[in-house]
Amino acid sequence: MIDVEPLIISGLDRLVPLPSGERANWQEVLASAGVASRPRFARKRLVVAAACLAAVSAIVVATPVRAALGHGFETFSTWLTGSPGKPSSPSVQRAFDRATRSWAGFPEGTKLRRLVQTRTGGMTFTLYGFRAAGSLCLRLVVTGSVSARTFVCPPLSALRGSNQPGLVVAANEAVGITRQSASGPFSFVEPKFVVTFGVVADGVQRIELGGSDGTSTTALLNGDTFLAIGKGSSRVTRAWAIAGNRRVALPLIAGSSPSGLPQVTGPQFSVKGPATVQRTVHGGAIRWLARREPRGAAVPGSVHHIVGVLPDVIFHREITPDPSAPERMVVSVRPVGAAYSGAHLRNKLQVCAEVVGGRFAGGGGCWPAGRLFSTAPFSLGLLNQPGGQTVTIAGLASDDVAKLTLYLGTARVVEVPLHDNGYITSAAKADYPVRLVAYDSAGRVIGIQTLQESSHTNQAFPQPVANAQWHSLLRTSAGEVFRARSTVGGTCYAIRVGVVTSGPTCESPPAANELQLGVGWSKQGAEVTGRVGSAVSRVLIHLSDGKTQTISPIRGYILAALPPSAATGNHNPVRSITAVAANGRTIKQPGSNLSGGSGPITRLSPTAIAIGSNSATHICRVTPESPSLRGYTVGTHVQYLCQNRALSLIGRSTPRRSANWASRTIWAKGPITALTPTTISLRNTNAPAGTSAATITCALKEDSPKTTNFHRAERIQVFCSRGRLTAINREVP
Amino acid sequence: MRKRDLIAELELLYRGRYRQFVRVATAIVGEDRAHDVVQEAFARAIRSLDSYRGEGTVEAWLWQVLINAARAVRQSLVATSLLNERTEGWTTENGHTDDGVRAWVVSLPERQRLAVFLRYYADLDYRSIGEVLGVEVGTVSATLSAAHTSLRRSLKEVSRD
Repeated sequence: MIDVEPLIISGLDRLVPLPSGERANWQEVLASAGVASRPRFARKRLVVAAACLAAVSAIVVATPVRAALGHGFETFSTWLTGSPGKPSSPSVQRAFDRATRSWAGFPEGTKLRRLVQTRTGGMTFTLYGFRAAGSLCLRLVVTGSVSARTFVCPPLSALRGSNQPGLVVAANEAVGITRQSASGPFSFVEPKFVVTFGVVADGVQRIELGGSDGTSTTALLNGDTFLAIGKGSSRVTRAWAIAGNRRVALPLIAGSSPSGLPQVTGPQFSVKGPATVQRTVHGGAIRWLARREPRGAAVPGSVHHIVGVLPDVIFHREITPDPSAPERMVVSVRPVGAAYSGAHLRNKLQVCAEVVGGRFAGGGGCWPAGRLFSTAPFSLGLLNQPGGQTVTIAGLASDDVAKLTLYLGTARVVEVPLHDNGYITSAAKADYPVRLVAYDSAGRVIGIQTLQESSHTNQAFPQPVANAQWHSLLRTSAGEVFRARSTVGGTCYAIRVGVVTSGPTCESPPAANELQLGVGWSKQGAEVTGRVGSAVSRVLIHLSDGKTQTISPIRGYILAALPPSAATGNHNPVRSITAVAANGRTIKQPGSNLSGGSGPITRLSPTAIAIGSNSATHICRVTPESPSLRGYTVGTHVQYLCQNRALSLIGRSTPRRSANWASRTIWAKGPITALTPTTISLRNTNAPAGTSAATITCALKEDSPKTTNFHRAERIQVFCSRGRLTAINREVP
Repeated sequence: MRKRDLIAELELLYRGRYRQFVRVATAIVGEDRAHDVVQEAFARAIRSLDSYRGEGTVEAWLWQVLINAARAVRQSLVATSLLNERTEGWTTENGHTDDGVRAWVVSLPERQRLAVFLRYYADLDYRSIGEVLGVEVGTVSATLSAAHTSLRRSLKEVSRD
């Protein structure tokens, strides 16, 4: 049986890395709860306030304003070279000056600028701005009945060389909470207002915004900055810059709606930059970290509360990936957490990297030390900046990396600052897809990671369209089925049982004889839900207590509450599910057609192989397409895959490694691209094209299976364990 | 336990486990709202200290409050939050994309999904997860086992993408 826990741990870690503790604010909790705060925390509150203000400063230089539209961002004169807006108030500036004396703020003496201010709904919305370290920075401050702060620093690379007459810096930032709302089966809290803001080129006379509710509004425009306050029930989905009779759509990512994907408007680009790794790096390392050398600086005590420096931290240093920028990165070595208790790691250490201070504070993540560079010679973490338009890209690179380059979809190329093995950069999402490429000292490509906006990749995982309208499809005593349009043209459905909504599910409709059913159960009851193919006339649910319940599909959907007596304790009350076609033929719920794992061979015959222990034995058929079993005997410890319960791949392994073979062994399949006496390379169709895992090269060692019967371009599948070929067979269709 | 002691214990929890609370909240409601959910959960817990009967640990009770707060904010947007946030382009060591794990998480029934989050994001043991979800320890084990089984089944789809 496959040990999936390592896959879960690493996958979940990357989905939601451990966040920073920067925003932790107990005083805010107490205030919200109506409890008076205690004096001993007053000092810390000041520190937090100062840290917030540290995020708003920079040097700006005055230059004249030119008028133009559509000539690119060279015409953003006040932003690129000038002083947008007015000076901020002395009190705000003083608070800022205090903050810039802190450890990782912006350059001392920088001036805040107040760009635009408006009042609505009893609240004051003020937009501040400045330029710093290759970014323009905007900060929205909301005061009044609701207070809020948003700070965004899109890269100047998004301005320079662009032919767009405006840049949406933030879209649909929620301010305040007004009420519980619903979209079909999904409930959510609607914000009181949504705020959209950005900058425009000289000569732009008006910014128009199109809402998800079909309305159109004009943003407040002041100099080179615009600000729009909208009702929380609507979201801005489009923006246009207008000058004279010209009207130009601005790139904008509208953000997700309940159960919807981001909606991108504006140009869609293709991936730029190198697509092939020229030299594969194995076992990348950061030597100064491994040797605990005191690179960079000691981590200031003032940020311990941000990065969660705990007594168990073994080693930590603060490095400066870009000496010209205010950001710092805290790199630490610490024991792995309890989440890895079941994983087999080379050592029980993890490496953490967290961005602190400056423009992009608040992101980071941890990797088991042995896996830091397991898929590429650089680790990569992404952090969405507020407003949904900009992403921060940061991580650690191995000693093998001499240079990192970011290739934008717009064909612009950005050299990424890399110092002491740390790197930080940012990109506008409107410039996606972007590709981060690592080069060695000889200029060879040694690592590639391609980033796509979710809406560009949703072909693989269809989702409800943005602002999906959910319609009730059917209602039974067990619950209700809702349906909405899918991003790929089909439909998605969601099922509500009681107060719990499952879904959305956007799988392709079932084939005529297919069942797509799931069972949910609790102490209170159980239900069977899902879809069935058109040939299915009845579904038979065989319960654990020996009874059978017959359900008829309604418009292809099954939503059945099982009798309370069926829910025995907390066990799945359903033993099996079958269906009956209109012609009386029985249809079985298909199982997985791919399974695998590792263990000793317990039985072996010309037609079957059994692997595992007495308590869990996996039996697969041996067919003409199966790999040769010559040399394998009962007791041999193997890794294996079975397809449709027929053996498709097998290789020798050691019992010690069996616990987490999935995390040590690459299963790759695809055409052979190169075959030498010492290596075999293939284009791995299991991995996304353009990633470093898309091409696999395995070393041929003494204990590797023979490759003499294989030739270039032949489609194969392999196990590659720690870079060594351990199993090979032709790809089974 | 006196009210003041309870607040002190909540403060300790907040200061010691803030990042784990935000992480679970992020998984449920998305990154943008996660901090607010945590703040609201703790504030709500303080406001309703009387409802804590001392039958379980304060931490388990707080996790219950947080999950309820998160569900109230955006109960069914796990799919969106996971699909939209920060993780594009990752590959795991065995050549699968993390989209596979993402799709697996999205496909899980809610209780399994919460159990997964509490186990792997909050590092809670089975007993604590049981307290939070209001089920027996054996049920937690069965729930996580069912989640693992569904991932094994989904490996087929992952490998094809």
